[in-house]
Amino acid sequence: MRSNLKLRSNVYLRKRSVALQNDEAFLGQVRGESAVGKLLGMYGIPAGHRRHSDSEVIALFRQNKLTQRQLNTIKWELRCIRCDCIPIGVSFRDVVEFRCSEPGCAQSSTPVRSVLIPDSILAGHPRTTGWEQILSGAIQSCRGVLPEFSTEQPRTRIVVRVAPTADWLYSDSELSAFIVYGLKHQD
Amino acid sequence: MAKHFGIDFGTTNSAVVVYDDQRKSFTRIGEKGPIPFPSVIAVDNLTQEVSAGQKVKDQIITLREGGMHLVIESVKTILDSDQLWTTPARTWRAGDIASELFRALAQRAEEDNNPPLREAVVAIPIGMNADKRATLRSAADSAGVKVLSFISEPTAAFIAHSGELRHCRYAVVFDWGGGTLDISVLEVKSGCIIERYTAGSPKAGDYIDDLLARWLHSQISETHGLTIGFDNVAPEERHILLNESEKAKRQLQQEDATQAVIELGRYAGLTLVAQTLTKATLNSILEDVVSGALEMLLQCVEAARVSQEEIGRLIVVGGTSQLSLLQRELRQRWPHPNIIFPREADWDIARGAAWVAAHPGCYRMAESIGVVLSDDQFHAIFPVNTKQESARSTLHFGLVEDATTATFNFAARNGDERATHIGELHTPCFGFRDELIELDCHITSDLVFEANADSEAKPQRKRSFKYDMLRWMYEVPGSDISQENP
Ligand SMILES: Nc1ncnc2c1ncn2[C@@H]1O[C@H](COP(=O)(O)OP(=O)(O)O)[C@@H](O)[C@H]1O
Ligand SMILES: [Zn+2]
Ligand SMILES: [Zn+2]
Repeated sequence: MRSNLKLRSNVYLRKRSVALQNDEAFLGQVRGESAVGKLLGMYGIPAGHRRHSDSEVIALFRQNKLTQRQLNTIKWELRCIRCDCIPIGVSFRDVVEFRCSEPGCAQSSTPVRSVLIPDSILAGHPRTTGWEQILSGAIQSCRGVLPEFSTEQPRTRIVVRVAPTADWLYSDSELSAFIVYGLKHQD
Repeated sequence: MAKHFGIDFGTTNSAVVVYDDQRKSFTRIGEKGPIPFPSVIAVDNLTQEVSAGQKVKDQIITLREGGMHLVIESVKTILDSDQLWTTPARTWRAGDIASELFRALAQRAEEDNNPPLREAVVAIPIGMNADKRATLRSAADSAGVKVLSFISEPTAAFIAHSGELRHCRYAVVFDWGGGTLDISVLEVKSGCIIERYTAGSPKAGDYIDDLLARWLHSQISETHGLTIGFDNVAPEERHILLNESEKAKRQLQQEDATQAVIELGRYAGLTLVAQTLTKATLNSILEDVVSGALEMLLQCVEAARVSQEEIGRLIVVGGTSQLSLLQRELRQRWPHPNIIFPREADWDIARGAAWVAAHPGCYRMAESIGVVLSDDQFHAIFPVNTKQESARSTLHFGLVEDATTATFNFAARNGDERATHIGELHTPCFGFRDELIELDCHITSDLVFEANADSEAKPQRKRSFKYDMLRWMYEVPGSDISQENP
């Protein structure tokens, strides 16, 4: 069915006699970071408490007022550093995918990967952007040879654009190792 | 009302039939003869006088060459075009020309002492688009003829023969006219006629005339050393050759005819040209077209997943079906004794339409139409079997994303098959919020599905979606369509 569609439907049946808050079938369909955020607002959750790990959010999930997909949405949907659209998100198959379709965004042709970095390393090098320079610099200075590698917990997921060859060559943990190397050897 | 009209508004010829309720009889209205009414119009540039039918056809060349008339043929094929014609006093659109034809048909009916033709069932080809249907309806309307309903041409032909089709589950209508060949496999199921499979080809009478004219052109060129190509011959002269080809083609279908002589006053700089066409040559020129048509027939039956044996009747109608080559080949490749070559094939469609006018049935949907929701599920708006008149529904939707456009995807679904996407509708919205989008759906009397979306954002601008390719079944009133039909 989906194959010959230009755009997926973004509408769902609403029960006219039922208030929006009580239209469960409809609310379960709400998708996208922005709409889910508004949904949380509708449930009275203040703006600063809408992360996936906030207790108010978890409570809603337990009451079946948020679906797993909606929880994943607030967990994973990140803004594109270039154009501020949300190119990374939960796909229809509940998989994190890259789909920046903004015209002119350089990211649209670059593969994107999400990798885990130990929190201890991140704490020493706080930053949120520029992962791709660190990665490519590290791959260069290691001449592609895998550096030492840590599986220390806890770890945090970061999203990084990679060159198509690197995307093809390295696994997630190998990419993580290069980034750790890059962070440790900055400047 | 005791008299009911049916109209076959054909590309080449039109026919009107009246059904008399009390006498249970059909009367044909066409030219004296009686032959169907040529669908051709001439407007006198000076007097604005409109003439139509055989008298125009007879002098078509003189009228065209004289330059004092606007002459228009085959208007049915261009009903949805924006083409304009001008005479000194006014401009004409395709609908105006069609309207003149309806007026001429109504006048013919009156001349034969029938009650005035004020309403009729009009037959239309399968697949005629919504714009053409609408133009046809309003053309009839402005000629004072109300279209009671449209009926598809093969269904009308089927109904005209329902007497012979008693207890048949399947029938095939092979309609080979001037502009198109239309083949339909029909099924009768619980009192409904369903067009189970249809196919069409533009290789019909006009195409054959073109083949013949080109052959004649090459013969004349050879004899007289012409170097000009057929397409470069002056349009009027080409038209004359096409006309003469058509005449010769028909003449050679008579049993004792062996050859025809085509005589031209002037052609491509030559004067008084004569060229002979034998029946054998004609048939060799037509061999490919005829076998192509038969091939299509067999494929159609196969695609409908029925066997030749299961088909109760093969009804062969349309002017081009009178080709003797077709009739011969058909008997070979369709060896079953179930072929009907109606004696009055020209009138069958109008006859079926008249019967429908007297016994109005109703259209039911042969497939369901619905909207694909945000979770990719098909939600039927009108399920299979819904009657056209009762197809009205208002649905409410909400936007599941924080977007400024709501997208509705429409789909049609046949039985348990997968739904097929048929189009989409976009409506401006204010983003994710407590907003109801109202979707008003109905099916017009022209059998067009229409959905109008109304959102709070820009409510003054309704967005609508139209779909005119739905499959229908025609429910015949009562249980037996053959009861009253002679
Ligand atoms: N006796 C005949 N033999 C062969 N072709 C014929 C004969 N009579 C009519 N035709 C052709 O049939 C076509 C018209 O068929 P008709 O069913 O009236 O057309 P339409 O449905 O397009 O109005 C024309 O091309 C005409 O030349
Ligand atoms: Zn981007
Ligand atoms: Zn016809």
